[in-house]
Amino acid sequence: MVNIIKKALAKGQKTLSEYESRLVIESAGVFVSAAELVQTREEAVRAAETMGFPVVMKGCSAELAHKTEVGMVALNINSAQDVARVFDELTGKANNLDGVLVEKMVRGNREFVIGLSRDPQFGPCVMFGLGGIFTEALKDVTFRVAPLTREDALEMIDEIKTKKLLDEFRGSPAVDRDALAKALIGVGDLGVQYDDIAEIDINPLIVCGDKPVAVDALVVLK
Amino acid sequence: MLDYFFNPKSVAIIGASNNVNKGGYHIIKNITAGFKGRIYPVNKSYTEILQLPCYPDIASIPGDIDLAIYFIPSRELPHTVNECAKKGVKGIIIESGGFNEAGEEGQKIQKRALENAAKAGIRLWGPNCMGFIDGNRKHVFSFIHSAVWPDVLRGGSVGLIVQSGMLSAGFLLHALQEGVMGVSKVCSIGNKCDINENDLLEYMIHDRETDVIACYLESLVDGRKFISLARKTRKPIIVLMGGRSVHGAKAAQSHTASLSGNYPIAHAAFRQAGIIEVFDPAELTDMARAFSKKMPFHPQAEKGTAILTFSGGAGTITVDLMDDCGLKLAKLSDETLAHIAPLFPVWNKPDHPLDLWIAIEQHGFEKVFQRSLNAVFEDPAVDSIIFHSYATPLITQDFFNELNDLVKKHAKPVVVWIEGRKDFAEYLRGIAENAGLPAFREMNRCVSVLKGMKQHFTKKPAR
Repeated sequence: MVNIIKKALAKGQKTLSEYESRLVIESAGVFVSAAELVQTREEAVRAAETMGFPVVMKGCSAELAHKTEVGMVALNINSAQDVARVFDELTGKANNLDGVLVEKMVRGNREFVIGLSRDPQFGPCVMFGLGGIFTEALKDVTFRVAPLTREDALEMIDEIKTKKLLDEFRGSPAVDRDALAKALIGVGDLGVQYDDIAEIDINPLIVCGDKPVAVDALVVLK
Repeated sequence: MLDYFFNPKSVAIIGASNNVNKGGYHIIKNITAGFKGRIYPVNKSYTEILQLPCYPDIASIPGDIDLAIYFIPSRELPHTVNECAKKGVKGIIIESGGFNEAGEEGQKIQKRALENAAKAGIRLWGPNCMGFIDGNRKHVFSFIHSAVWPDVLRGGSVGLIVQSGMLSAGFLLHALQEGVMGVSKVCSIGNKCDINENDLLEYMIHDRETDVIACYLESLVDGRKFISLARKTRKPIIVLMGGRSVHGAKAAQSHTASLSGNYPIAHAAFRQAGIIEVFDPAELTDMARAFSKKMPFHPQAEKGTAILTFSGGAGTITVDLMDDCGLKLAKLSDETLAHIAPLFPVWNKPDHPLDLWIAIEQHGFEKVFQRSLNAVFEDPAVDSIIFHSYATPLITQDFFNELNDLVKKHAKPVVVWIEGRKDFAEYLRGIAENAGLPAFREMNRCVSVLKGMKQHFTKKPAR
């Protein structure tokens, strides 16, 4: 953990790569989707076959904070053949990649966000809210100053206007609130523990079954 | 800490005046009214003010001085700080403006004064503020008009920290006359270049004379410290935050040079720290006054509020307002309703909210109020009561005194709403407040006070 951040700072990175960001938030207790960083076409196919189709593939580099905009994300890949083709496409687009991330495609129709920011008056603060396509329009978010108690985290979860989405919803089970609370507490603790972290953006956090799973993460350094 | 502000042995008033139209006159007039220590007016133009010898400058004052009040143009401050240092001054209250809130030149002056004060170990209060008032000692170290406060200032247990000049004066006068509320210390902190809300909050948390702390703030100097102080105390802390909106934040900046922070985070932090947030000055006063009555309260999630009314409509509106802010209506037990039922005609069974009008018509208010209040207090599902009374001169002080005895006995607070003819209603509100019960003519004020109390009494102990 400390090493990831130190190495990144030593290299002059302003952010961690998605792969590094995932390791950091996972260490804090956030569920992340299965993912493997691969260097060759063969590794990519093996990784995809091990975790099972469909998969998502992303070009991975600390310089790629906005992967979708630059065409570095491919969703819903269903065969070994496609994995090999996408691998070539992604690596052909940029030569400074740390590798290609092969991730298990997580399905769920409920998306949330978790964030960490530093407020000039209150220090590290955790944000939780509705994710997905309505994030901007509804601005349904809530904050707490870190560190969070379990009660703080549970209160946050109950504070958003769309909290009904966290209950049993259209055939999907209620969200594991304990797991969600742990994620919120963990992200807050990262802010308290590591001064070098300026921001964390976990978006989206998809509810898969009853588990909140981070499928993308960005850690911004100071 | 800070005792040299609140309990100095000697005070110099720089800019004292003999001219009744000037603030410098009212400062000295106010100080002589209650302060028992040595008082030194300072002004080159006079040899005497209010029969006290007046000195041309700080250096001419014989002996040391604890506290100086500064009320001359801003440019003299850096130099005056150095002069004060030579006389052993420990604190200076700067009540004049023309500093950070007044552009680049003012900012330079404030910065230089601060540097000089830091070197001398002098604490600066203000600038651009109205000083403070100690209600119990009648220390009025402020330019507030000397005629407006003597008959209304009442000592008590409410401490106020206000980041505004006029607001603390007007608001104080309003607060003192609104019901029965006494103040321990009312502090106007202005630009808070040195002494800030955290210093005063910490002082008031330890102050034996202060039981309730109410703040109007336009910025927080160190939000983390503020909430960690708040978290650790059992004293209720009520905050009205100015500059919540984009335009409000702009107004705050020109008012006290405050940079309002990210409000949604402040809002969350207050909630986390068990601070009661309010949204206008009347609500701040209502809340402070209600807490100062020290009604015992043990709210529990499974319990709720009982409503006793003389009007079905008023009962309905109260339930709606309670629902808006998440206050629960108590589920009265069958025994409670059965106990009240004999007051009602057979064709009309009592229900909750308890609309007592039919019973009052038959049996008179005394019997009906007494019997139903007693029954509701005894009900284990009830943790608090909103009591509606119509305005009649027939209700006496004894009635509310007895009601307050029940509040104490059962540890269930009562908030009173009074409606009817204005003169009778004001009379009733007065006797209810005298008895120790918060009373209002507006239903939403009853509900928000109860909501604030419920929040405070369920505050989690600090980690």
